[in-house]
Amino acid sequence: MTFQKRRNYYIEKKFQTKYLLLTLLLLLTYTSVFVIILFAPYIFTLYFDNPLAEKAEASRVLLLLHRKVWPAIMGVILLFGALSIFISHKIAGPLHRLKKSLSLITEGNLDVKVKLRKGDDLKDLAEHVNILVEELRTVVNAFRIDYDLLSDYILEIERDIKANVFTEESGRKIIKKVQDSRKNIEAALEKFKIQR
Amino acid sequence: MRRSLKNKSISGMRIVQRCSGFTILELVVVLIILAVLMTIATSIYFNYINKAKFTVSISVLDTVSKTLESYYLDNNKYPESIDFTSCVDEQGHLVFLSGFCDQMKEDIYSIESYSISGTSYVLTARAGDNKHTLLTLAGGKITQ
Repeated sequence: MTFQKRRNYYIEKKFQTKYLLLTLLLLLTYTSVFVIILFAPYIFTLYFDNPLAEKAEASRVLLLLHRKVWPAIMGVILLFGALSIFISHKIAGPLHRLKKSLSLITEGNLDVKVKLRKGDDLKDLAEHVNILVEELRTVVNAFRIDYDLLSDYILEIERDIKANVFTEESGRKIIKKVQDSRKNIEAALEKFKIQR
Repeated sequence: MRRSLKNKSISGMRIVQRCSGFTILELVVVLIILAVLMTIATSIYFNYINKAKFTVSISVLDTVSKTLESYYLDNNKYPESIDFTSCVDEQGHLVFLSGFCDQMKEDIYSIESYSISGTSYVLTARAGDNKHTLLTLAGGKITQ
């Protein structure tokens, strides 16, 4: 697999949209709580029948906060919204690569090796996938060797029968060889636990 | 928050895909609910901001009234006219302190008129709220 320059920061759209929405949800919740705590005392002063001087003081603070706080809050929401895409991309990038590799493996390509960039997250998972592919490759190779051997034994029997030299002794010899291959296949299969 | 299982068949293999956690739809629904609540809260909030602007205008007119009373005590009369840009009377004497003059320009939308009749004065101004409510200051009392 080749590395391309990462320009698209919105690679796993569904995954990243979810985290962007989650970040916005958290930010809006925090903002609501923050605004209530900040503004409520002054709003209460205005709501109740307090002296004019007290109400005027509260009004001035409220208007000052109104002018200063909202641009800052908008800035923070925009900043964290953009940051959530960058941060989720740190996961989404490797995840995308892993997904592509796993699709290739599912299609039967066992020459796949998941390579992640330096500093990428999910390296541990990629390593586990690579170990799994390596194991599968070993098992498939073992099966291939035994398949070749079994094909040879069939050819040997056919040749002997054709030449009329197939005896009980030669038959026993071949059965022993087939049993050896069977044992090898059995040993390879024992690794896998499948409910029948 | 668990979605139903999806079975896909790729190259004869059955892949079971299980999605857990928040779904985009759930998040969108929560965000819509939050947006509706925030719209209601925003309307209440701006109502109070408006009220604050109005209160500040009333407070400024209250200070204007007190300043004109002290002017009356010093000069035994109210100013004939006031230039509200530089806050000076007809003789060029400062009626309001420069700091308050700036504050007045900021907190009041506009001074509509100022007139005196005998020993009283009438000042009309528009408040800084959204409706620019017309306020009248006469005999030390502010009316709408």
